[in-house]
Amino acid sequence: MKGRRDFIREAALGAGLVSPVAAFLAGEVTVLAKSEETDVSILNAALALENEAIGLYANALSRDLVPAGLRDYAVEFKGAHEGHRDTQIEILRERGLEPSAPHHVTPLRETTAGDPVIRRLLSIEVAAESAYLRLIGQIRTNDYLLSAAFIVVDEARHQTIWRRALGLSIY
Amino acid sequence: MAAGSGYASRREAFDALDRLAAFCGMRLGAVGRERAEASVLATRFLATLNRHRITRDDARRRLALPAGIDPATQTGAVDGDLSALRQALDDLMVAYAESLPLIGDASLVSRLAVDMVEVSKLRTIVDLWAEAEAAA
Repeated sequence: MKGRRDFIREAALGAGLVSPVAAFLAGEVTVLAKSEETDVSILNAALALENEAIGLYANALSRDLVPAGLRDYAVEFKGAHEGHRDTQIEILRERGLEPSAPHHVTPLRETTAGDPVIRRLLSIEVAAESAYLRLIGQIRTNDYLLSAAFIVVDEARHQTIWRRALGLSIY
Repeated sequence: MAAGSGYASRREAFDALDRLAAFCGMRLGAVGRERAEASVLATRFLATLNRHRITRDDARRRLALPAGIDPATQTGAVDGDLSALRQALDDLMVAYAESLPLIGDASLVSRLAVDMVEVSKLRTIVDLWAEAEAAA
C-alpha cells in the first residue's frame, strides 16, 4: 500500500489544480495563505479525494467485492461521500466556480470479496480524515470550515466501522 | 455570528462545549457503574474527555477567555442508557463543529478538530455497542 501522504498527494494532483494544497499535504510547506485561492484549492483537493472514495466504493459494490454482512455500510458510506462531494461543489458554485471533472479512479485489483477490499476502503477513509484534519485549520471562510467539520466526523465514523470489521483497534 | 453556527461568541461556544462534555462524563460514569462489563471502556472514554478538557482550558487561556466550569460541579441524575449516551456524544460533536468557525486561530482549530474527531469515534463505538446489544 502506498504511503498515506503519497496517496493523498496523487489523489489531489489528479484534479490538476491543487498544487499548493498537495505541497502542504506532502509536508513541503507548513502553512497556506489564508485566502480565497487557498479555500478553492482545498475544495478542489477535497473533491479529488471524495471522487476517489466514490469511485472505489462504486467499483467494490458493482463487482460484489464487499462481504455481504458489510455491504449496507459500503452503500451508506458511498452515499455519504457523494453528499460531501455535492456540498463542496455547491460551495464552489456559490463562489462562481465550476469543479474540475472527476479523475479516473483505478479499479480495485482484488477479484473476490474479503478483508483486502475492506482494507482498501479503510485506506481512503484514513487518507480523507488525515487530509481534512491537516487542512481544516487553513480554511478561511466560515461556511466551508463548518462543512469540513461535519465531513471529517463522517470520515471518522467510516474509518471506525471498517477498523472494527477488520478486527483492528478502534480505541 | 459565524455562518451556520449556533453560538454568538467564542466564550458561548466554549461554555457549551464544557457543559456538554461534562454531561457526557456524567452519562459515561453512569454507564460504567451500571454495566460492569463497560467499566474499563467508560474509564478510558472519561480519560479522553478529560484530555479534551485540558485542550479547551489551554485554548481559553490563549484566547483570553475566562476559565470554564469544573466538571465535578455538574450534578444531576442520569442513567446508563446507551442511546442517551450516544445522543450526548452527538450533541458534543455537533457543538465542536459549530464552534470551529468562531475560533479564528488555525492551530487551535486543528487541535479542537482532532478532539471533535475523537468524539465522533466514541459515538460510533457506542453505536456499534448498542447494535451488538440489540442483536444479542
